[in-house]
Amino acid sequence: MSSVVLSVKDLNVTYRTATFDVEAVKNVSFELHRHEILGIVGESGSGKTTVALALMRLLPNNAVVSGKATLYSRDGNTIDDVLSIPESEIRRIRYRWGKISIVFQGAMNSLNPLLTVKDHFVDTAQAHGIDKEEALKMAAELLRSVRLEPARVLRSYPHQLSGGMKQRVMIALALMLNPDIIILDEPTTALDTLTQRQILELIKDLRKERDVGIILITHDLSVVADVADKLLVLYKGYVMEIGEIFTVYSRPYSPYTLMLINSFPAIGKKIIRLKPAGVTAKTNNRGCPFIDRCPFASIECSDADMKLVEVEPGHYSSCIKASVLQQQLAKVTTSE
Amino acid sequence: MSNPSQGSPRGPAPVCPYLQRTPQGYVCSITQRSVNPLGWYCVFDYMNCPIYIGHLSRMAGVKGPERKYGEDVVIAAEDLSVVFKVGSMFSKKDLYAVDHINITVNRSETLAVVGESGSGKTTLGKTLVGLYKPTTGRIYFHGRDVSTMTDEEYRVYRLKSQYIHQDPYSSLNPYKTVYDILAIPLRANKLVHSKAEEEKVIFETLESVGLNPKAYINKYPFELSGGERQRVSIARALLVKPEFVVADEPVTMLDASLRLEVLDLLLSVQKEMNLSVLFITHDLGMAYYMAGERGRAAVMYLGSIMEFGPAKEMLESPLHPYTQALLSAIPEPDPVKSRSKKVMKLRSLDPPNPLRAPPGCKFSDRCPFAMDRCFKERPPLKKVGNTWVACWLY
Amino acid sequence: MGVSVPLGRRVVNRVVDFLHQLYVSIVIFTSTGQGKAGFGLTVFVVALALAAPLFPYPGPKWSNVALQFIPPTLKPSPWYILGTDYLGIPLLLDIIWGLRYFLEIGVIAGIIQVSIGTFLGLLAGYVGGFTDRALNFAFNLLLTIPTFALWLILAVIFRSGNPVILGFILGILSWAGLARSIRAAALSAKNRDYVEASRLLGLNSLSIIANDIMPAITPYIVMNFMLSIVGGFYGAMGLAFLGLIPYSNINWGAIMGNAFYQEAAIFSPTGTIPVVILIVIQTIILMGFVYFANASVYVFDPKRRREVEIKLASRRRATAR
Repeated sequence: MSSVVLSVKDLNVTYRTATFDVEAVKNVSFELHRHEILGIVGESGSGKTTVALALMRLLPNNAVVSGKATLYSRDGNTIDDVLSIPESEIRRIRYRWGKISIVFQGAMNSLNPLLTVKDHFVDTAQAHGIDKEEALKMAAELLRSVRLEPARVLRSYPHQLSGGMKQRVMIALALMLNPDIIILDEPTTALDTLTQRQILELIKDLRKERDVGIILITHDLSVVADVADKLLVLYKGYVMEIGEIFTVYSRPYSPYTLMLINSFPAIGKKIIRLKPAGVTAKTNNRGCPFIDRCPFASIECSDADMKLVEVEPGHYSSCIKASVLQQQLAKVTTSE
Repeated sequence: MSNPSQGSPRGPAPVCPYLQRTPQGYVCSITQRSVNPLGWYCVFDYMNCPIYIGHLSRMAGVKGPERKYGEDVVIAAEDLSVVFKVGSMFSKKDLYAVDHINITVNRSETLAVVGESGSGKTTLGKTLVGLYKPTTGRIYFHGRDVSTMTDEEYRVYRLKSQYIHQDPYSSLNPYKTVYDILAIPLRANKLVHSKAEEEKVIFETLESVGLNPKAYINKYPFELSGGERQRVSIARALLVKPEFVVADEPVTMLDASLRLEVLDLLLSVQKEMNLSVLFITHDLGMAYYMAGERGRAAVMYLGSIMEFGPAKEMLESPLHPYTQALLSAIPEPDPVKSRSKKVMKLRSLDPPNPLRAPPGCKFSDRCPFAMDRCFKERPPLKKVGNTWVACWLY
Repeated sequence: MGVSVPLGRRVVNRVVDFLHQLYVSIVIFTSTGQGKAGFGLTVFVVALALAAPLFPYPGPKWSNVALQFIPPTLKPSPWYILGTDYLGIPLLLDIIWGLRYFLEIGVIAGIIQVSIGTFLGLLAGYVGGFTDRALNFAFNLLLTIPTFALWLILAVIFRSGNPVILGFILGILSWAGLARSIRAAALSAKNRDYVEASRLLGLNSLSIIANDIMPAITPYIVMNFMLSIVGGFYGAMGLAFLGLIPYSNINWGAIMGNAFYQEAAIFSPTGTIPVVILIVIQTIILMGFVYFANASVYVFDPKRRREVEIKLASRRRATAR
């Protein structure tokens, strides 16, 4: 893998409301390299979309962010403290879309039904100071890179395109200013199986052909298993595990990851079913959030500090029982 | 048949709702025969009522022409089509959501119906339980043609066929508590005869779906999570002791880690109650999980069945090109398997339009194995080994 | 679970439960500024209207032409605190009894509108098909007819100031708007999944309407009821203003009409005072009703009720410690 393009340390996001605070993201750290696809997997409430919005600097005003994120752009510039530089600076360096872009969930619905695809490209380009001629040339090239035929697609309105095609248009738009990082939030939900496959193949090709780092956010482990190089597992705002996808899958060092893997039935696959140990969390907000559902939990888990510990080279887990997990797992599976 | 005075292990047996008390004695309101309740196992569970079962045989026309379907077949669809009219006021076209389908569901089995959106699987499910009227073709319940049933028989058919919705956020009445949601159907069908009995049945049903009754009866749906709502949905469907349940993608809208629990619940309930389950999904992995052991599966495409047979065989070695394409397209959760999979290349990347289906085989415009004949004639379902396939390759 | 509760106890439980629900509703009403104003005003107005018999009736014996149009004063007696009308009758008494009069008209008009509108709207929305098309046509037809013109005609025909008759006239012609919105609400409720589920479970149409559809449309009904009362107010005042119903000094429209036609401003420098006072009072009252209607929507939302109950319970627990 080539050099690092994004480094995130101890990202914390808390939403302040009138009645209480919601700690959406807690001490999330990771690194993203060029030509790498990082898959962030989490269920609803895990904070995965918040992480994306934090990196895009698109969080609402009541969000309190702490932590450090550094972007190493390919033009040599290093942007320290992406999370704390003022908005005016963000605009000056054309951070959003120029350095990092995002394709939102349900992106197909983000296209303006009254504008043609060509208008979308021209509008976006002109907003970033690119003239119309240049924009159209780029548009044609981008559409071809997402396997769409420019002539037909450029003059179409969104309702004339299928879901898969609209998704690809959104990806092309996201690539317009050649960002260093592109975030894809649930790129394949609401698409049918065969179209999903095409989009996943496209993402793999993008990684090869372009000099970008890709963050893929999803709740579907199968999507990540197919395309990602690294896997980051989020649960209730905490990083439970992070590592290379093959190693995390074959040797999970966090019980949550294990449970997640076993929640996706596949043909010919054996499901390991484990019952929760029945340990209840102490009422304070500390400790492992998975304690009440974890089959290996014990009372110490409610005081766990959830710090990531390297269990294998390049493979980190926040479970305090990570070291003994593999043995316990072996015991359980052989006894079945 | 157990001694009626013993009752079920959980208390005295509740009285069959079809038992009517007349001045002449007890009468079964289905058959209008007088009965002696002491000699008759009056149960809430019709499956053990000899009168009800006898009645089912009668419904199947044992006297008349030969019984159309075997004893074991609970629901059968014969040449079933459901057509919707779409388009503007001046150019209405026919949309064959369900296109001449023949399908049977046996007692106590899981039939997984697999298809993408637009394949007609939801329409099929809803038509089989009576929510949509078939445009052509017939539906048989225990061998009896639904369109010629008497009112009483039809009522039994509707009660015995239930449906679990896909969206847990709109399938429960937001203005009623869980208790009311379950109590109202009980009272409406006169399935309970006292408040105490009503409470008992509701508590038992909630326990059977894994929810602690005391904690949940006073909750409103907005206080429940998606998984809990689906359980209440399932509980509601089970209240009337159905024989046939259509589960329409019941876990698709739930978080991944909660899905297995609900699926396992469905499987265990099926075993306990001898239910026939029609499990609708777009996920072949889930179809395998639900029907892989002993069930059957049907793959639908644009309203027609492409392949139909024992689930395990079909999903491990599919015959029809569409099934093969589906199988190669679904992402596997195992990264090793996923990346070693060969992706089947389809001839066209455009998704199918049900209004402009190709004249021959519906899959001919995308099938990599299409031959001349495929474009002209629609292949019928042919038996190949244990599986029925609609493909000219066989 | 099997112990049967004595009847007396059950009745008491029901009453306590009802009062508790009422309390929760009031808390929800008063949770917003608008709600407080609306609820307070409405309760005040209704109380005043019911208590009107405690006040002297502004009949002919109060009439004193010498005291015409006097500005607010405490002489000759505190009743003259808001001044007098054209006949020298204290305006305060006119207003209090007028409130009762208008409320009667408004409530009758409201009841008629709401019953016909809800029934036909439900019929159209739930049954659908030909019934729906026919009824919808009728609704639209009625909405194009200028109701005020019809009111004029009917008022002239009946020539009565009787509040019941007026309420009837005003109500019978203006239910179409409500029917349309009830129809829309019923249509959207009909297509929800849980209604489908009820049908599968063998519930008959009446049951489905009562359990599944009514809770969704109740907020509309309450709002429209309050707004019909407001409409009744305006209608009755308008008819009196134009002199189409027999003069009655408790009908504010008549007082204002009088001031207008008798050119009170020219006649007496204080002639406009009653008009201004009446306009201000009317506006406040009717705004109060509208705020009440707005706030009433939240009373039916089970989520809000649950939130309030939780807050009340935790407060109770806090004080118990």
